[in-house]
Amino acid sequence: MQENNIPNDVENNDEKIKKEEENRFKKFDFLIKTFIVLYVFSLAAALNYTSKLDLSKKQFAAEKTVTLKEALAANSGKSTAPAIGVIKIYGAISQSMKEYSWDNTGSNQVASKIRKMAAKKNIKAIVLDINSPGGTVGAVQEIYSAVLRAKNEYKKPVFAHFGDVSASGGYYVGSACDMIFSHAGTLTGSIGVIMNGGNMEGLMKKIGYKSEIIKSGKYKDIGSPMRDMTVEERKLLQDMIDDSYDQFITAVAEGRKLPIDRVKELADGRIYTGRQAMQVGLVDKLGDFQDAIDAAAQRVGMEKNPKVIYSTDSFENVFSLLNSKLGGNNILSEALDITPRLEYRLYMK
Amino acid sequence: MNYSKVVELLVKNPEQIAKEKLPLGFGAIGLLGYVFGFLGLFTYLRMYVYMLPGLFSICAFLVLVILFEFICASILHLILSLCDVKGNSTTVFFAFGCSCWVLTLMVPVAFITKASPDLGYLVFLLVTLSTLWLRIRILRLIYPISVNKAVFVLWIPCCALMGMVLGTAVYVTLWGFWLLFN
Repeated sequence: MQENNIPNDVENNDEKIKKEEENRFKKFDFLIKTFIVLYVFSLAAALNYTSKLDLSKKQFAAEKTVTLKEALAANSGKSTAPAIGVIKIYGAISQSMKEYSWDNTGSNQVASKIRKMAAKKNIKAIVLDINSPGGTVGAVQEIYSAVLRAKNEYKKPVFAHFGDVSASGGYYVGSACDMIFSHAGTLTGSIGVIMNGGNMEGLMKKIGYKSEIIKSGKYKDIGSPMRDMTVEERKLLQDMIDDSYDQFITAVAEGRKLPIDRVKELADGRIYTGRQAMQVGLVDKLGDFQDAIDAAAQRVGMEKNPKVIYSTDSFENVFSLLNSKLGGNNILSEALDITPRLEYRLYMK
Repeated sequence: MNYSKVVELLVKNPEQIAKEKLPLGFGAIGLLGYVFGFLGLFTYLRMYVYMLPGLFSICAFLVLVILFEFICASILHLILSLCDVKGNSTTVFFAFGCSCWVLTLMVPVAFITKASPDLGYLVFLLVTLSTLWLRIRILRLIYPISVNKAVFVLWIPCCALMGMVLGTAVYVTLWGFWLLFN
């Protein structure tokens, strides 16, 4: 009997173990399935939450479109309180080939800064901080035009403050402003046009170099440094300079509200100190930069010592510094550049 | 194939992954671990608006992290092989995927964080640390190495990635300067 019972017991034990294992597995399987269900539910809840969050964001965006710049300004603590905008125009003005936004003499950059400042609602008036001997005609007129646009289209008063020098093209830009402030010792005036070219014919003969020019018209090589200028060419260029000069004095007469004849009297190319300029009506007031800021603020109904916003931010200033340190200077290339250019520029080379 | 049985096997007897013949379905469990684990992490980050919405964003995130995990496993195996430690990189990759199942807890953690930020961040830390602990354990099962060495080899791929990012940033900055000043 015992011999027959042993296999039965073993079979029973095996079945018991199998059943226990199955039960354990069933429990484990149930646990895993519960975990998956909970995970799916929590995912669904999270999805619901995030979709609601996205929807509220969209609604907020529909109510008020926030640009990246506005968001950055808001995060950096910059408020939209009324302020006076300041734009620096330093150095010889030209249409820069470089696209650096911090270039203070590139006409496109300066004009763009004026337009952007004028378009800002919280900027109530603009002050141009000018320290420039002038520059090329087209570049100066680009900035002049931007000043007029700010005044006429955006109805923003534009004031000018002259620093060390604000002559010729620098004055051209200033003449478009509502009011000009200057230091007593500022060099200004030099209203006129100049074209400067070189003649290297003698030098080229000495070194045995002869230029061969093939041209489509007799004036195509006008201003060539390889030969003397003809009388006809001189007259042609003089007419051009006279026309540019006429544009200059017209701009000054309109800006300063002076008769053309009076401007012609003053505009023989002479330079004035700030005090002399004020005596002849080329400058409105003597004062420092803060005086110009305060006057602009008072014009728009703000109190003295207002909030000032500069056209360059700190990030641009860092790059400007690096540019000045690493970029070297172009004095040599400028000195060697003998391309004739029409300039509203103080000639003191 | 019954995945529950594979999971039970791995939970009850983790030494299985050190054997040459891996249990059938181990790779699938690992890959699913990556997908669901990182989906949990994505959801956590998404609830705090660190992630862009949309299917493309999820897919891009998953592809990037799984790719990173793959490279991690490769670098890790390479380093250990150079140290004459024997092991299997494929097993490491899939086993790390299994460890990612812990990250599925990130979804409830996100809700906890919303309710109580301090507790939420504590749980977040616990979940992250437990994933790390699991990975160290996995590494020690697959390779005969000490805990310190396991921690070290786990950090190396992250350091390499950070080094690459830093190197790229420096290169891009220098290139920017060159572009600006020439």
